[in-house]
Amino acid sequence: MASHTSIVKAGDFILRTPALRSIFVPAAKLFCAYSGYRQLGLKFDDLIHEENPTVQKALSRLPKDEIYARNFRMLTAAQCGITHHLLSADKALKPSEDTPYLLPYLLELEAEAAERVELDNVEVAK
Amino acid sequence: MLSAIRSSVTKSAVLKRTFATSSGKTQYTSLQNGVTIATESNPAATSASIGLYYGAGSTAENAWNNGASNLLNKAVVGENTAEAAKKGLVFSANTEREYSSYLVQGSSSSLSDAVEFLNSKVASFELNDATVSKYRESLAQEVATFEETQFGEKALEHLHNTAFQNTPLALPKRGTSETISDLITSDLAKFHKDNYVSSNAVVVATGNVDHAAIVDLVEKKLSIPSGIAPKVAAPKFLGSEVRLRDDTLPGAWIALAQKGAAVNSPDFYVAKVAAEIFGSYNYHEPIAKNLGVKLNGVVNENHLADTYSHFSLSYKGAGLFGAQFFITNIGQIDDFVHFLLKEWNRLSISITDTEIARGKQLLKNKLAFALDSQAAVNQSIGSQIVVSGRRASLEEAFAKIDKVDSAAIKAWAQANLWDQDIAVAGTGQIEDLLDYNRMRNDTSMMRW
Amino acid sequence: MLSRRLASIQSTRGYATKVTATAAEGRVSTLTVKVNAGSRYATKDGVSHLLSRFNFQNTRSRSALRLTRESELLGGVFSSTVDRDAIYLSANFLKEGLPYYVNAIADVLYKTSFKPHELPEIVLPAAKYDLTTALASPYFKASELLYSASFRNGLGNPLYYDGVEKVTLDDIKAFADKVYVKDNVEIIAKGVDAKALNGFVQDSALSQLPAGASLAATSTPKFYEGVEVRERAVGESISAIAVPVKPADFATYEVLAAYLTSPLSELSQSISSASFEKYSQAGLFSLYVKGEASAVASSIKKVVSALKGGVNLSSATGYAATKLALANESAVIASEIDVANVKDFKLGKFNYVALGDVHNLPYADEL
Repeated sequence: MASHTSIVKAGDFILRTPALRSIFVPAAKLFCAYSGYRQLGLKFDDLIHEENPTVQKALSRLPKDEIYARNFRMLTAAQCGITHHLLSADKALKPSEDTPYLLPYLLELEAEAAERVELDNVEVAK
Repeated sequence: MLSAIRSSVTKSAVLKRTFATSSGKTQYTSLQNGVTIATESNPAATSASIGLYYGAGSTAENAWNNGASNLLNKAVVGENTAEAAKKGLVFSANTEREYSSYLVQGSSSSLSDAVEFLNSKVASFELNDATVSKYRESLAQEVATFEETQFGEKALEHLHNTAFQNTPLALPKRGTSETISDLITSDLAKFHKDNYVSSNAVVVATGNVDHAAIVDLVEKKLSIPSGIAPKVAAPKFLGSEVRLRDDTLPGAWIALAQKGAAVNSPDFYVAKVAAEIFGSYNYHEPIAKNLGVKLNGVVNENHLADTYSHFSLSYKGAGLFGAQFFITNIGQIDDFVHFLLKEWNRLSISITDTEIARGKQLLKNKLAFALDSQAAVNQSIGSQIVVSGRRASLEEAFAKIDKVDSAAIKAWAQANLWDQDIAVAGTGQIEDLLDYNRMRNDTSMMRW
Repeated sequence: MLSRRLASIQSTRGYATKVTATAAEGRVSTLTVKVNAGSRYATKDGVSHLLSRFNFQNTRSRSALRLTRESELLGGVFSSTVDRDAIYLSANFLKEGLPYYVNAIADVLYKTSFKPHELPEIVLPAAKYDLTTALASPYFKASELLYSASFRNGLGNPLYYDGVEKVTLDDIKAFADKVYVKDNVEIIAKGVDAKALNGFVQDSALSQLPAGASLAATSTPKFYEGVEVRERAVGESISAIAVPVKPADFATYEVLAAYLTSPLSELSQSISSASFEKYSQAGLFSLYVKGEASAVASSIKKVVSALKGGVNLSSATGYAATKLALANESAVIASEIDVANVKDFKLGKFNYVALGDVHNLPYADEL
């Protein structure tokens, strides 16, 4: 799996390049809107596969209110799932609320891991 | 960033070292009766220390008088500390496997008193039955307490006992409460007469002292009976194990070792560097997660050990390279021992230059900072001279450490560690300590 | 935080931190930064301890991992310790590493990141480990009670963080901002050239610290005497007495501690431990008897009545002077006490702690 760091790097490149940006940004907005997770009350970062040590560690570093809000969104989505309902437009997550709350923690952890790999393999100059 | 590290850390400082500074200079004189005098002067010091070292510790004992050196040492100190204190002197003493030491510290003007004191209290034997029995009881008690409380050290003692079985290094350096209880005054008198003789003695003065003045004082005031100490049989390493399982204790204390380097071995510093590559570890200290030791990754993640420390112990004619460790995760002792031995394997095949550079620097740090007090400097000089015949100055030690490279480490490890016998001692909850043959098999790999 | 610090740089005239450097032969150097931020100056109980444990964690210029790895290759080790007076950040290293270590310690004072996850993941477990290790010794428990009885606040604050008073990351940051200032830190170096050190200090973040104010105590704190504390506990019993000491009496108690722990005094047989701990403007002499409760009871009675009767210390001055001289040679800061004129000592009012099987330990008025 591509690391979050590399995805963010690619994203930054797209945002920096006007031609790419004019194609990808509208497409991404459309993709997110149509993938429907916001209608279950979820944020994009809620969809990140969490069954691995990095994401677990990142979750453990979230502030208390963030983790509470995340759990609440998960419960809402699960409730929507079992009742086969979508949230009404006023209750669904607005695009402006879809913030990357977990990503900074993941990036920090990946940077820590990368630094460790670098220092584990440092060589003494002769 | 990698290149930044290379230039900022390793190139500039680690490898472009200079010898512009020098450590203290030691001066030597040998008297006609065989006593060696060594002094290291530090004019800035406000005090002075004078130590008398005899090349006789537990290795000079036998199974019947084991503990004699310790009891003699403790009785002499216990009996005379008050008298020293009245003169403003601090008197202390120590016994190890291969030497006994007596140290008197005071102001530099009290050196003459100090030498006279050593002459009357240490050089001549003046203990009587009543004194000996008084200190015999307290020392037997002290050793019994040691055995019931200091489990890590106890494992290390048993490691010597099994690794060097049937040789003098096997004897416990403190004696045991049983052997000490059986000692009588004549045992101590004989030990004193045989071993506290001129050819076996070294006088070391440190602090604010003058070499010529010390030589003069010792010649005039210290009369050590001339003689030659009995020869001690050569030690021999034997792969073996001893288990003192006790499930009532809160964990497992284990010591593992293979053949190390003797004091005069050319590999002395090679083995020291090898031990420092792994160094010591405490699970609870935050720095444990950051140390540049590859073994620690798996140990941290699974809490395989609470503490470990590697050692390279050197004696006359033999040495031990190994580690002692304490584990509360008693279900995974086998895992720890396995990963530990796999790391030792790497010393023979794939140890990296960075790990060696790190080990060398930390060893220098350790050697230099061990000399943090006058007593430590005195002890370092005295013990090295009585045991190995000469003292390596810090300067010399650093130069030798600088010469250690991966070829030297690999050659030494291939000869002494790879597919070689192992000695094991453990106490506490050691049910999970693997069978001897499993550990022996882990000293090599089928492929790498 | 950064902007405030940057602003204060402009208002600083020159360099104000005290630097003491002793040159020495040899291959190694020691660099210690003493910060007047010990537990006596803590804004909340244990904040000094937590700040000390935060030292050498991630800074804005390098991570804790990188610091450790780089330092290992240079042959140096760091430590941060806390006592009642100060936090000591020190580095023991091979001489040629001086610029690196000045910079590293400076960065700790000026640029520690105080990341929120470091507190629960690293600092609190380490602090808990310190406390657990210390509490394993009954002496530590007794000594904490004696300090608290003798000084209440300030020197009487608990040395380690125990979680009774909650300390947040913001508390630690605020405390760091208050204590890591030019006038409150002192640099003590051994085995370095003073000129070179001054140069490196000027070039490091140490010269960018805000001026601030020194917290060092300037007057003797209030003493409380005649206090008794009794606490039930499992294990060996301890009876201990303590006397808070003014700077003028430091010499007497220095000799007394040396005397009572040496064979010069017959009481040394009955005493398990005696120590005199010196701080700025005050000290505490304490004496402990440990063991089985009834034996402790008879020993402490004997010791206290002997001390109340008065002891002649003049025979111990030479011994104490030697002990002090030897301790000074290895100490970070030598204590300049002249013990030559000490004559005798008589125990007056004292504080008393009974810990363990208190049912069988005497009360203060029975001593």
